[in-house]
Amino acid sequence: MHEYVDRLPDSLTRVADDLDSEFDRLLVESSRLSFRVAYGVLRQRQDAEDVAQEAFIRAHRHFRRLRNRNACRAWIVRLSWRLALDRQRANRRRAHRDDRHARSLPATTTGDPAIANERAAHVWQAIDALPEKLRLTMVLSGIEGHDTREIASLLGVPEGTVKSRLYHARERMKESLQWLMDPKG
Amino acid sequence: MADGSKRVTDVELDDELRSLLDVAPSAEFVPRVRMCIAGRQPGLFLPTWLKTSAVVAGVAALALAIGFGPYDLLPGPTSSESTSVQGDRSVIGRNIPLATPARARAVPPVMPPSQAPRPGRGRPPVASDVARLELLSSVMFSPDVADAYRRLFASVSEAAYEVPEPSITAADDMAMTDIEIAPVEIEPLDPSTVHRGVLQ
Repeated sequence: MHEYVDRLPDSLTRVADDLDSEFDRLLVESSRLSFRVAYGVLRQRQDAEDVAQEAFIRAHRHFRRLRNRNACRAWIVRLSWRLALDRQRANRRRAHRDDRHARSLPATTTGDPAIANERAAHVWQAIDALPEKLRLTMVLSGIEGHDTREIASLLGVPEGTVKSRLYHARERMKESLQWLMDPKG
Repeated sequence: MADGSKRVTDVELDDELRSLLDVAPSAEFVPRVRMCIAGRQPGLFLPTWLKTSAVVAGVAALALAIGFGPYDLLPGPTSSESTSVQGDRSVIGRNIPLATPARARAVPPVMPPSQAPRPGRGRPPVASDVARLELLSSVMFSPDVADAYRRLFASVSEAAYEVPEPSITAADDMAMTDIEIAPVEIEPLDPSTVHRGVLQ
């Protein structure tokens, strides 16, 4: 522990230890969720891990000041989403600078085995075409174990809003995938 | 479908999405985050408003130090002095003393004309006036002249000066009655205004 913490009285040290253990519990519970949210945007394991790590570091920095620590999981999800979007924009800008021909190529087809097949690439394209709110809701619904109620708590919106967003997102994706999978198309 | 294309169902879509997002971070992820957090120095947990107030106070103190520095404590140079001052700015800059609290106490601040003490009615000169004059001389004159003034002030304060006995000459010893003074005739400049009493 840090030298200043060692000088604190025992009670304060116990509080600091409790906070650290509480945050460590949050890290273990939410690391997979944060990583998947970032992966839903970036589709790169290494980038997604970097983004999730940055999200947890920022969360730790503000963890002591959080009034409602139960909402920290939702906060990490939204932070991971935002950081992943920023990373995606930066990657695209870098690719655009490095090679002008990269603009015509989808940024996600960089050799990840998870999107190696064409069908998966079409699904990702359909997700990318969604508006941001529908996109995040759809990604969270695709992560196993998240029903509409939990998505609503993570996003801080009513459950009916989540259902509505999921309905519109699915309809748009069906249209996109139908056009993409249509043998005549 | 009528056109023969396959319509994606909700179940297929959810399964597809679930399989795409069925990924997990590497085993080193959590230990790496722990190491990163432990390696960072814990910041000083101060409220944001306290940090902002400290910055504002610092800027205000700096502005006061600049705004009420030695330049503003001194009167501006006259037209003849300003010419000589502009001639050698390096000397001036080298001789400007710093605005220390002790100097600020020693040198009285410049007041507006309405509040400034009038000549003859103010307090007698004290040591701070001498210090102020020294400060003034250090700004207005070159170092050599300033040193000469300092020596003069020091000798006056120690009464270490000598006044030579004036020698009496023949002209000084002459009585006033020996000097002939011609009478002075005063005539009005404009004779037409004399009888009307017009002031000229």
